[in-house]
Amino acid sequence: MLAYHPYWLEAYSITQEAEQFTRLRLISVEQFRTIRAAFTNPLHVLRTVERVTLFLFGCIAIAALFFVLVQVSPTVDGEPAPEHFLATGILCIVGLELLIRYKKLFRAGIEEAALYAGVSAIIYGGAHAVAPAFHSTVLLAASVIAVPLFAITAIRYVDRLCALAAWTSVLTLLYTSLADTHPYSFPFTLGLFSAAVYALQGRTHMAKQLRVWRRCIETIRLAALVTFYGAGNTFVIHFLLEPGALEIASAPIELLPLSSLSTFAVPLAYVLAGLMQRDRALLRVGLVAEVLSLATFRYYNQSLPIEHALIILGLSLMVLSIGAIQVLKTKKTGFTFAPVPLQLPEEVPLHGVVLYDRFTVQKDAVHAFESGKRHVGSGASLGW
Amino acid sequence: MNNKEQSYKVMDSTTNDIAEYLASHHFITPVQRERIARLCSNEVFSLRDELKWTLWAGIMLLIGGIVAYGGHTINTTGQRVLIALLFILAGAAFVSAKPSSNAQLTHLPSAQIANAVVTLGGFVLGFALGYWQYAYAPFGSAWEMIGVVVALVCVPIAYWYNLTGALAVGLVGMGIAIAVAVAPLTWIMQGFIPRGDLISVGIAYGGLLVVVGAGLQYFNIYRHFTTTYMHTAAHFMYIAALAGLMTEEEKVLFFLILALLTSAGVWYARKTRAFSVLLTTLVYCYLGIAFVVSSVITEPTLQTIYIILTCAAVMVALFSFRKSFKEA
Repeated sequence: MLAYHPYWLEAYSITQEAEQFTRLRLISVEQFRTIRAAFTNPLHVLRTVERVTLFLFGCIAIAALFFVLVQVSPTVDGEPAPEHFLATGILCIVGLELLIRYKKLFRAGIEEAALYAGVSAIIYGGAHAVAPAFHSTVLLAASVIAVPLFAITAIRYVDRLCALAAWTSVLTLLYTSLADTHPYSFPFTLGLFSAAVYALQGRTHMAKQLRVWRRCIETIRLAALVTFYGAGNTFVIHFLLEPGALEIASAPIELLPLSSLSTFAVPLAYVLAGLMQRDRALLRVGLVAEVLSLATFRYYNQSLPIEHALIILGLSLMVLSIGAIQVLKTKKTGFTFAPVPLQLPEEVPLHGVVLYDRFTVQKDAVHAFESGKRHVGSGASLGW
Repeated sequence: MNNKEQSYKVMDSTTNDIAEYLASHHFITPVQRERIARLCSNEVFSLRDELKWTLWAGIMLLIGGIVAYGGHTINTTGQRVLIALLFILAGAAFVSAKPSSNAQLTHLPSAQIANAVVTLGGFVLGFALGYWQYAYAPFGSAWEMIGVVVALVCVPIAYWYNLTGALAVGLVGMGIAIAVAVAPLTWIMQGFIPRGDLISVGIAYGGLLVVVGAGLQYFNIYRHFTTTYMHTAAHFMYIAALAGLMTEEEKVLFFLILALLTSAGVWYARKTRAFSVLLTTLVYCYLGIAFVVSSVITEPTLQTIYIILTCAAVMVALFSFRKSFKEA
């Protein structure tokens, strides 16, 4: 199922983590070099600038390919047909497979351009080809095609953006299914679905078999948190139930008491849970949700001029954060403003811990590498 | 290296597992493994980033409020408020930078953030001066003074703080000042743009920057600024050459200049193993060749096939250059 061998991905993860340990001065540069030498893998991973450049050139080339196809087999009206999109998408996916098979590209820009363009073209072309035949809307057809396609690509290419797109497609499918028949139940369904996925993610996150996809799972987890908040936000509910009413910004609406409560309670719960569980992702989502809740409040309560509201809110946040910084300059109940890790108590000086046996390490490194190669042959992962 | 130079990352259970695996194979010592495990357990939970973000959000909201106030009172006191705010922001950016006496530390995260902040401050200063000149004309008709002032502020700060971004802003400011002096805005507004003069000045200014950069490298004075001089010079010369190629009669001459610049850029990139220089060179060269080819090939299908082939060629070239850089 995976386009890359699990050992390559695991070796890549280990070297990435080791690089981070080196940056944090938890291990020495020599140790990092030893680890990198032990866990070599054939993947071509590029830096951000190179990756973005290759992504842009890849997109330009794919767009040009699409226009060539349109010019080579023009339709009667001269407009691109669904077949053109499907052909472009299939060519992109074939190209992607060849690039991975022969060039071992991973996070290199080109293969990402081929993946995103290919999947998008297939969904667009497929939806436009299928929708008239089944008398359904293009959005519904696109959602039905997108859910399995994005899920498969997220699993096969270990891609976070595809995982997020799969999540969004599921939500769109839910919306298109319930919008006409049970519109008022949609926010509740959305909330329940998000909560269920979040709970399920908690069980799968630690599973060793799924470790390769941990970043995809983490992305789904964050998306579920955001969706759960959105399902209870007054503005979102209003938008989903009565999109046209939003054109009059100051129009008073009959807010559901539950949504008014959840607009402010959910972010607060996120922040408190994030602090109590020391879960940084939850804490950060909670802080962003707080900002969105304030914006929602401002949207429905415009008694104060915008400039006054911004100045008061800005000054309040500044005072709050400066006060918290001053308080946490000394450690309080396990929380601190100091950067971790060097402020840890009983810190061990680095020069005292790097006196390891180089020969033993080198020997083990070679052994680990050989072990990894054997695993490549047998198709199993390292199992750390 | 002090504490502020450390980057920070959220550690999770996988990090802990990797550390355990590395320790079990003696890549790291038990003491190191213990430290990583304690970090993963979050026994000390740092709220540094979150509190900083909240503080910045407050500052941004306050600025937004002041801008909104300025917008509402634009006919009375609004413009002065906005100009004063821009100058305060630029000043705050310059004051916030801390001097780094050691050029070797410029790659550290804190130095890079300081570089970005001062660079942004330089841009804000230019914008503030431009707005001030537009609203109250403190320099009369001498618009080029905006670029001169930006250069006079940013270049000394760059040398004092060892910040390459500020130097780039200063050099660009001076370049714009020279360009505006050659082609005053009043002429441009009347529809007359002395393109030949501008192109010559662009190439000459770029050449001057190359000489200064090479001189610094040769005499070992602020050698880490050489790449910034070369980069800025490259942008000026490439833009001038492309402008000549696209607007002037002597297309062969400017195509030759572009080819010469490309050769020099590839040579310099390979010599210094600077991938960013190579990237700049490739992009400008691609634009120049694409312009020439598009004026020769008029068939749309052939043009798109040309785009596909050249994009593939650029990608292959970037990969092969990267490989040669790694092997060198």
